[in-house]
Amino acid sequence: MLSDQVLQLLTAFVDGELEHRQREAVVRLLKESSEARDVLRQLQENTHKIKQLPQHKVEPSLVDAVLQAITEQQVQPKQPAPAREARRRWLPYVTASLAASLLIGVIGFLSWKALTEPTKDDIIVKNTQPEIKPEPKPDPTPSPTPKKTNPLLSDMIAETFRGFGAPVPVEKPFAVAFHDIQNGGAQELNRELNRDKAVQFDITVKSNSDAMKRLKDVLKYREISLVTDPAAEKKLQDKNQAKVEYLVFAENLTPDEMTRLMSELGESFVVGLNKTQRLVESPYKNLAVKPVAKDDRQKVAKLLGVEPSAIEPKDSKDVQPQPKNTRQVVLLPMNANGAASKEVQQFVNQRRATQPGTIQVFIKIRQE
Amino acid sequence: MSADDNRLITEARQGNTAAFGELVSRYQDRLFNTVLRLANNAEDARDVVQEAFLHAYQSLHSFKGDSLFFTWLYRIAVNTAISMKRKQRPVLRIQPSGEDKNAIDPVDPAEASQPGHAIEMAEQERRVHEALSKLSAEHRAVLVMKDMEGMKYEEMADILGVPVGTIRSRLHRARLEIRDILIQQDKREV
Repeated sequence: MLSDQVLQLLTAFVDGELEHRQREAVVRLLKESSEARDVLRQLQENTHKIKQLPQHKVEPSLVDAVLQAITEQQVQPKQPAPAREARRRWLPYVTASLAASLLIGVIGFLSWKALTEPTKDDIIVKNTQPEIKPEPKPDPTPSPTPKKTNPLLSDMIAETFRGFGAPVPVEKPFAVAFHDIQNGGAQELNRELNRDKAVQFDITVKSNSDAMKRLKDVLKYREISLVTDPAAEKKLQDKNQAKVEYLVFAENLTPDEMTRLMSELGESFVVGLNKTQRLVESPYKNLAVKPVAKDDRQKVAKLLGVEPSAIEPKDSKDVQPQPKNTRQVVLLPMNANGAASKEVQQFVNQRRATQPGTIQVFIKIRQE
Repeated sequence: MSADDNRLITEARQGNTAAFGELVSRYQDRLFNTVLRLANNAEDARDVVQEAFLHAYQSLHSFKGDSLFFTWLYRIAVNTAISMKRKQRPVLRIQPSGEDKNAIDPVDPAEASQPGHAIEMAEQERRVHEALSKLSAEHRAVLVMKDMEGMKYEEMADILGVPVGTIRSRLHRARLEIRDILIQQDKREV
């Protein structure tokens, strides 16, 4: 009989919500206990059954019913409360400025009246001059009929108030932890990679050297060669390698392939043979996806020793499909100076035309 | 949030009901499929989804755009469905041998044309739906959110307004409970 604690571990294992150590504990348990294996199988089967529940369409569509209910019940979207507060905050200022205008008007009127008040001399002159009618006295009380406002202005003001309280949507870069890519993150990552022809990955890793070894293995499994700039190789051996930021320039990979690669990089993997076999946690930690900025393209072009336009993804027609085993990516240190190495030049010369449906990725890797 | 959703929300806030209609059209099926598994039948699910959209329209001002519009809608619909379930007394449903007006139509007519497959699928759905309906509203909700929507514990906690620990323990209980129900079903049917 399995304890409740073990059952909790098994259910969380099915949910994909265990820490690495807990996952390892479950794997060990499954090796030892047939009962645990049976329970896990049942739990996984049931999850599969729920996942497989068919998707239905709402028929008839709810659009008409909802819109009719809105009309019949005269439902209105309520105005945002902060906007009302904002309007009230303006009221004292508006009142004060109206009072000030009124005061200025009254003072102006009185001054004008004082200046135009007939003196004795004026009365003499007045008798000889045509009558000058004073300008109509400004009415200090507001007119009872509402003043017609410019509808365009009203809309602009209403729009301004409407905006208060609602934050301006700012597009954040998509970010995901590597261990989450398998738990629903892959779908979102894939969606993100389908948005642009070129993207930049900012990746953090636990150890640069372990990350590069793992990258090489994963790429090899996918029949993609990793061309390593000797400067990168040298820096990876260096004592201060942790401080170095690396760039992997990859292209002609589909969003699906790139998602799979990232998913595999985030997986724990087995090292050693037979009895010395052990499960090692992935050195890959977090991934952020950003659009490629002009500066980034210029910098990457400089590292590769080409013009920025030479690494722009192009819509090429009649492109010959690239054989899978000829694909390669290049690894360089971000702070490389001077001319591109022979290896990098060779990589540049062997580049293929942009394959349809593929993306270009600038992968920046740095140790945490 | 997609730029298009954002535009439709802005227009709906200004009273453009057609823009809101577009949002309803966009999300009704996805919402319905989740609520269908939380409610007893398709009719109740329709009512809940319609109510959720009306509530969303009235509360559009409170949508700040810091989550996806769908997540916000989802939160309204799931919580409406759960509270509806809590209020409902358990009802013994006697299925007539004839046509049930609340029955769910097969998804794909092409699949339905393969009699064996369609019957098998419908039977599997009936069994799982029956098993889900025996769970409490809270347990049913976490299973549907996790297995059908693939949500993380944190997202579920946010939507249901409970701590992550509660989600973990609810899912644990729900998984064991549905396992027992399905085992009992198997025994009964054998």
